[in-house]
Amino acid sequence: MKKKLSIIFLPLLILIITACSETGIFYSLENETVLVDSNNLNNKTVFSNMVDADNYYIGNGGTALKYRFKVDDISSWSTLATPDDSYASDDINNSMVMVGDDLYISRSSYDGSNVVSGIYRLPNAKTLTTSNVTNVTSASWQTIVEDEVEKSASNPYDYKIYKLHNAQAATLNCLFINRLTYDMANSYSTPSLSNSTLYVTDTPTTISGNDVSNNTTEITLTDYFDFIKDDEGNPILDGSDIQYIYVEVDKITSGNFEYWMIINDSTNGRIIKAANVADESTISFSLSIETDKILTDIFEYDTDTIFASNSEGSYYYSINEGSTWTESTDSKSGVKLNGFADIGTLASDNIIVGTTANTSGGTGYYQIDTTDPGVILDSGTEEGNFSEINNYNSSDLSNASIAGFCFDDTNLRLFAYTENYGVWLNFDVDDTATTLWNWSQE
Amino acid sequence: MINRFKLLVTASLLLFISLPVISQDTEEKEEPKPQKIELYSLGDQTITINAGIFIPLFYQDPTPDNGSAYSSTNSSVGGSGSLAYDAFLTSNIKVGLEVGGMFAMSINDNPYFMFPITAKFTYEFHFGQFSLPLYLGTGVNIITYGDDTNVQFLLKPGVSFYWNFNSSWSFGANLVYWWAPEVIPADHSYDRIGNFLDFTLSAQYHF
Repeated sequence: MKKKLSIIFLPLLILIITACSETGIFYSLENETVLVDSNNLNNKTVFSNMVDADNYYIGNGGTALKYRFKVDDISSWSTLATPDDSYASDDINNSMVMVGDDLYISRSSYDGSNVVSGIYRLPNAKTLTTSNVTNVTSASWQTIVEDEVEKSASNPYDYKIYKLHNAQAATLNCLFINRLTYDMANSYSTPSLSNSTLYVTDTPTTISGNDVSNNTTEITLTDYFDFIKDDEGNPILDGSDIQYIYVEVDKITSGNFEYWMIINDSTNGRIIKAANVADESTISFSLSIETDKILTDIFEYDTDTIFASNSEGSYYYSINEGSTWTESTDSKSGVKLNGFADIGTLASDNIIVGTTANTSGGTGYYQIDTTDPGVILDSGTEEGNFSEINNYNSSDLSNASIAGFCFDDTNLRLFAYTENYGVWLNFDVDDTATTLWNWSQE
Repeated sequence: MINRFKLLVTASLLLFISLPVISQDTEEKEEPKPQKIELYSLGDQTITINAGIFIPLFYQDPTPDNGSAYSSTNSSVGGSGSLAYDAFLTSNIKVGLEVGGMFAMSINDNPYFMFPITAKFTYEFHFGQFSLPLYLGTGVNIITYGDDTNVQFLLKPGVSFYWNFNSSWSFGANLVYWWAPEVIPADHSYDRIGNFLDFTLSAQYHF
């Protein structure tokens, strides 16, 4: 009888001891406020990235570009015309960056027989106003390069996809173009990367001849392929008999005096640091660290401190400009970390990093105090979240896969764009001198 | 003389014969009172299934700083259900165990749940074919909302009304009050006492 009772009550006792939240559930319910769907974006809108374009915000929604002016807190989102003429109906914007006053996008489409891809510029996009934005049409875009590859009945063929990165260091505001060539030997859905080249220019308007190698500087990526080795452990640089010898540049970001780039293979990641950035033609990269995890994002917080997130829920940080790196003491299982934002104007010395699904679903974002950079704060508590905690915990954002953030630190508006729960905006909802940061869905 | 003797003998015989009849009449007039048959007795058991609605009433802050100690639950009406086992100690007193669950929605349509496990003490009144149990349940309440879980103490006083359909089945309804404190040792400013009501329909099997 005693044994039967202990079978019943022991699990209950364990549950009582272990199951206790730090804040009351009834308290949370009592203080929960209605989440506002404050704008006209579909609740499932997916942005791959966003740009703060001074007068407005623009988001890359894949098939469409969405913009919203900053004139007030309730201006609605509209669609910006894109260069559609050459493209099939399934066209997609692969990437979007602002370089100076100009907006650059790369697009591609496949209509079953042709693959079309290219890079386009919208001049003076940064100066668009509510009065002239409606004048933007497909014809307003200038073609930098456009390729159309026709499927051959007998031979496989290569097509190109362009990935754009923008980074600013010192006086240079550069456009990086990673041209990826795919061998569509089998099908469009299972291409293999047959070549990858990286070009940089601080005068992208001079690219000519429908070729990105004209008037740009090529960064020799093969220098970073030595981690691909043969069976004897020798680095392979010319692997005509190897399926993959080229890699895609995953991220380039701005540094105060340099650029940072991450490149991954199937298991390892590399952080590359730029040097000689004063002149585009002399930029060169050197290896800062090779990691045993796939890297997802890189962020320079200040001249000395850099963070690089990985796909296993942790991150690396350096406090000496990349000379040495340390892995975070905390990690979050089941998620990838990516997408950083400096929220120092909302919470002093703090940054946030988003999560995306890995073995389990996304879990919103986490806050890091840069004065203790190895620790990930608990965003479910008041101490670990700059935003009002009941509002955050009751929102879908707390369970979202976050692709990235866009922070307008002049108007104190923070956007979080997610892969599964749309776009969210955080701003001060308190009209008094005190602040109350709340999330609402766009 | 002989006639008188005969008359005396005959009367005596008649008297002797009629004595049992006379005494039987007396006995018939003095039959003992019929015994009361109790509806239930020690060893009788019931299993009851309940289902109905859950009504969040209010929260009470046991240590309010300023203003009112009572606040809205910010929740919708939800659903409630339970399974109970009881055993009679006497015809009117029974003890048992009840396991149940409820759900309701927050102001943003996020569900929260409570799973009470209570021991019950019941005093049951009987009125012919009807029963009126009064009871008090006490035990633990497992509260979940999102990723948070709390296990707290719970009191559930209640009243029911049953119609005894036959010797095996009864049907009725229950009205139960939930007094559900939630104590947060880390910070008592988060302590709240939840006050709820559930109204359920019931089917009870006797065995």
